Amino acid sequence: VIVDAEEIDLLTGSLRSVFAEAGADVPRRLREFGWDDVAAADPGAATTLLFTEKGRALSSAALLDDAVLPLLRAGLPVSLLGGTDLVCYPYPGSGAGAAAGPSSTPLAVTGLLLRQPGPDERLVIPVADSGGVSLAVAPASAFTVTPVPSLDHEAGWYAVAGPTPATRYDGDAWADVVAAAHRALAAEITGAAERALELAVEHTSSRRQFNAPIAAFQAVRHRLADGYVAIAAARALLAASFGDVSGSATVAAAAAKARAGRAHQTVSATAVQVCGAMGATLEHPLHRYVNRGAVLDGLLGSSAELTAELGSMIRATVTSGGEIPLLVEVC
Amino acid sequence: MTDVNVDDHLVTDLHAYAAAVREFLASPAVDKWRGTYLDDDPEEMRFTAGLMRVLYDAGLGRYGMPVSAGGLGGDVRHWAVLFDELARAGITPAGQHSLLVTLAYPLAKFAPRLATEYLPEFLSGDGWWGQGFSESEAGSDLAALRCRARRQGDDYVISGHKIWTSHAETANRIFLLARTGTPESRHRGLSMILVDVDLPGVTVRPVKLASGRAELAECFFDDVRVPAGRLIGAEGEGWAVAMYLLQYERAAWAWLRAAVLLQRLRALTGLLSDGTAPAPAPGAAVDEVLGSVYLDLLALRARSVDTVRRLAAGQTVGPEASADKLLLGACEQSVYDAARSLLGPRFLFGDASRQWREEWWYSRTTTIYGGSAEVQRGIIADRVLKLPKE
Repeated sequence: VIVDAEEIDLLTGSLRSVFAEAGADVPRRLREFGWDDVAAADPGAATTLLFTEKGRALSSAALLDDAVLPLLRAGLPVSLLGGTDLVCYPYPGSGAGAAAGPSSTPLAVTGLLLRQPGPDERLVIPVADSGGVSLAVAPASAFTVTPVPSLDHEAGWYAVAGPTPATRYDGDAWADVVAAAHRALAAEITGAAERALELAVEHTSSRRQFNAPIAAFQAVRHRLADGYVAIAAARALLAASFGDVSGSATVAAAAAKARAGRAHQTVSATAVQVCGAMGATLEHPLHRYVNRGAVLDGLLGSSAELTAELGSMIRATVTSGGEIPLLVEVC
Repeated sequence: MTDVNVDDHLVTDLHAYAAAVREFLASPAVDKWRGTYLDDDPEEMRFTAGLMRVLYDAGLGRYGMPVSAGGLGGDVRHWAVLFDELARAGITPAGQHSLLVTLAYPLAKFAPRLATEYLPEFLSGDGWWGQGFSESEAGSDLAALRCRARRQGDDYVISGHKIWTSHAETANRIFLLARTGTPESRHRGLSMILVDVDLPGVTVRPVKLASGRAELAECFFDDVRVPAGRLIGAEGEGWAVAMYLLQYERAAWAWLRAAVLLQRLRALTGLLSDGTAPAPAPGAAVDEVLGSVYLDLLALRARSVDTVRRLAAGQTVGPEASADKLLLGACEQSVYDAARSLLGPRFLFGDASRQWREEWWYSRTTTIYGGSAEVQRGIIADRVLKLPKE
């Protein structure tokens, strides 16, 4: 760890101000702050802090694009490196690991954008070919782009549909992109879960029934404690995924996101229950954290999908006589 | 706790230690412990005492303990490495190991003289000790315990009863938490004493779990005279010793169990694809169960590794370690519930699944012993989340 505990507190405070004040301007404010230097010094701490705070702030800034575009651009020709791009993520539930799959004829893009593209902006589209994933780059204006109706009204995501461009570039980085995105999303989901748990703690500590704060009742206390444990486990696994996981980075990242999604489910169920009817209203902020974590969980493989993928990997590993990746070693 | 022997790189280089252990465990000298399971706990303890001896003689079972206590130096991480390597070699860490990693450190800290005298027998497999904490009226509420130790001259005279003591039927000593203060003194009036099981007045009776296995025992103390020199820590310091001990239970013991549970996940996965009917056709439902167990294991290890490192660095582990304990209990039960649900009839019937059935019942106790899951949740609610008191 390069960034120490004291720095983490300072950076957390700075990020909270940025997210509180900047709105749609978050990426610019982060550049001014010099966040790139923090990320260069300690990528794990930087991703964890930035996306945890993003989740806590319910920011809809498309920071994930900024995190993964440098990896994608490594496969693109120099002539394509100018201008601004958006990443076209696979549309949740489309079953493909890429935004365009080989099964449809002609190849069609079914993707998702984290923000509305400007008129001159381009999309970087992962395309699943028989030989793996390749990349296509095309102006957003070549596609139908429409807002995505979802559980989370505030996410600000867009659906993309249209034919797949014929020209393809090297997409070997796609597995690393997914792993990086899994880690960032795990942090963001955990951040939303943390805030939901805090709201539940605040509500149950101040709300009185039967002449006592409702957090004094064991049935409530134990559920909140389980929420804390779920988040602690998710955070530990996320930290491990940034550690020395040579050869198992994609497994570690998928595990971190799966466990973050599960923690969010646990905390959401508890928070919605213990905040009572108030927590189920539009007036109370709880639903925003419940919804945000849920749609983030749906991106690039849900907790349930990733869990089954990991199980499949375990079965294949054991059948072939391999060693189950432990990800965490004491030395 | 580190007691560095500068000439021995295995003390300072954990990778080298891991490599040395791995090489040794590949030898036929340990073959008889590979994949071996015995129904009878006393028989198994005598069998695994041989493993302790072999590891001790090779030197590799002596790391993680100071030289003054019969070890070769190093810290608790050496044990974590040893447990991982044993599990990797298909050898379940010994019952002695699970007792040793919780009892040895408090003894070395609070009674170095006793550690010098007695820990070598524990390390070498010549003896092992029970942890005499719980009583029938003091389980989750440990500070209510009543077993008395009265000072008489140079001795303590012990009278009372302990229960749920693991491996006590074959243990030669008991790490006994007894009341030296007034009956109302709660945790302030407790003291830790190392009591020999062969003393007059000590009776040990095995307690069979629902599976029929007698891993636990109850111990009766009928005016047992123990020299005052057997005190671990000062009189009245027993609670502090017990809390110090619990840190190692949260860290080293949890790491040991995670190693064992990984072995069991591997065995279960192998059974599902060994072609023996009836087994469910592997598919997404099976994969989700296996993946979920795997995630529980990873989460436990990811959490424990920090706790192990903090202890190795001489730091204290706070109330947040209750999360480790809850994750361990959940993981234990998730492994065996997965075995039960995925093996179906193969779990319920037939001689081949005796071990699965026995361990399934044992796994039910993992959210009860060492401070029940309810107690751990209470600790988190009070001391971490700082909720209003019940």
